[in-house]
Amino acid sequence: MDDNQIINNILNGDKNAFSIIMDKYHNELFKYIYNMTKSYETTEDLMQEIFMKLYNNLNKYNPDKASFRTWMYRISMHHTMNYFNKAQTKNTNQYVDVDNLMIEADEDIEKAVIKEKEIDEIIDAIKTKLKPKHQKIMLLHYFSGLEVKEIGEVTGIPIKTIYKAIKSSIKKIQEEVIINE
Amino acid sequence: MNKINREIDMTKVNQSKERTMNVVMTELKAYQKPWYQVFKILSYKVALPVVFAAFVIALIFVNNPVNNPPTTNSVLALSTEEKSTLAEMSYLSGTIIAYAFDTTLSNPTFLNNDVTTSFESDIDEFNQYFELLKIYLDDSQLDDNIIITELEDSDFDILISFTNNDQVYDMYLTSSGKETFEGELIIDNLTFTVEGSIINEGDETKLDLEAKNGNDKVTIEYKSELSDEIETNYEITTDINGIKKVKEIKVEVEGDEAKVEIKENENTYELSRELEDGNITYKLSYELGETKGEAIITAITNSDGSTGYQYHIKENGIEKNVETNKPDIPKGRNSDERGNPSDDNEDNENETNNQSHFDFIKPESI
Repeated sequence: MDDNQIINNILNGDKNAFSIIMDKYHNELFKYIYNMTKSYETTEDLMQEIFMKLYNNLNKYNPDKASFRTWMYRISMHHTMNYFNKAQTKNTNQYVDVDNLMIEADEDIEKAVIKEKEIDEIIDAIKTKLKPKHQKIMLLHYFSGLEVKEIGEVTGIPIKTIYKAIKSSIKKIQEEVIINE
Repeated sequence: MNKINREIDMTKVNQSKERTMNVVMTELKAYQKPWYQVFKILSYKVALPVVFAAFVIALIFVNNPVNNPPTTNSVLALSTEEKSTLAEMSYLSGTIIAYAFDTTLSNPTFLNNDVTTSFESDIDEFNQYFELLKIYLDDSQLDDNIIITELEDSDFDILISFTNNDQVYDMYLTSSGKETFEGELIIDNLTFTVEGSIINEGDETKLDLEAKNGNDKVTIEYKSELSDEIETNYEITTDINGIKKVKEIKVEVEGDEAKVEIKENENTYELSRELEDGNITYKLSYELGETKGEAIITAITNSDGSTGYQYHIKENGIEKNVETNKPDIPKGRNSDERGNPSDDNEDNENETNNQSHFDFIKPESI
């Protein structure tokens, strides 16, 4: 059953059908948000809020304008950005909780810590160096499973602009990360 | 695509998924309770009226857009990309026709009258296309100032508005079929009827747009394929005063650099933008049949304060400067107001407009 049929059923009163949507998209969305929050608890809270928001706005979803997946990402992106703006969290935490990392027994612990630190620096650079429009693009570009065309549908920004934004933003992020090293 | 992913514990993710689904589904089901509670309380005394009220409420509030999705036959549903492209095409087609009404042509000033280059025979028309396509080379983009409004209580479905060089373009569109649309393009007081089609085939998008004013029309075909280089191709067919011409325009954007190529029969022009010592210049290289040449184009301010362009041309050992005015869209004229060239001469104090109105298309350039 495709997404539109499931949504049809939900709007016709079959609320249980919403669990199919959650089952299908939960892990993909979780990873996208976890990449930015670095916290399982915060991500779980945001996921519950996002799914409630999706359910409450299902009657506004128009399948002619976008796929359900890109519509879902749009709502998730705005909700997550609002969370960051309210929390005013700049990731200044230089200490990485190694216990929270999924590390295989034979993996280099130091490499895993460095990778986490690099991701933190990239996120910091995105938040501090880029305009809000480019922040959305780059967070989706790096951390979601979306291709450029889908990012265009989620953000409402033409693809040509997205390509330009990605290239100029990568340059700014690289400069910022190098300065901080 | 350089995706970044933190190390993640999938066991924890799946546990979180189970909790989230339980919490959300419990909350969704809880919404039913108030209605049942009210019904139970009232059922002994007012069962019949409550049931009747619920039936009426259900009738009023049933609104299921997915069951009755808007069809493309009745409402124009365009993606962001399609709206942006339509805005570009309306800018191109509208401006090309609007230039046709410009009776105050560029009147190029030839600063060296000894010899003439092949390029100069078409400099008027090239000057207009340069002004038209410069937007692709400059940092500003139409995308940044496109406003799209969905209309209610109107003969049209949407309004696409944008501004370039302080000139406002308003395009009203409505669906006329499964993949077709029609509408009006308004540039100041100039109004053009437009019609076209949008076809999506996999990664390729094809758009056609025809803009008409009286007997003059411009048709643009647009094709774009997704690629890293972002290449866009337009085929522009103009039919101005019964004279037809076909041009191919290719715009390539890669990173911060853009290049525009214009092709017409055996003539090709390639434009790019350069920044040198803080000054912007535009580099042109061209082939007109077997004649090759190049020019550096620089914006200048004329003695009357108006903006113009200086072309420093190099062709077959000839090197010379030619200055032109910046083409403008004439204000407040429609096809029925298009004047007789002789009428314009009477109004023109300088009386330098000895050229015919129709010199926009020179017979020898066909």
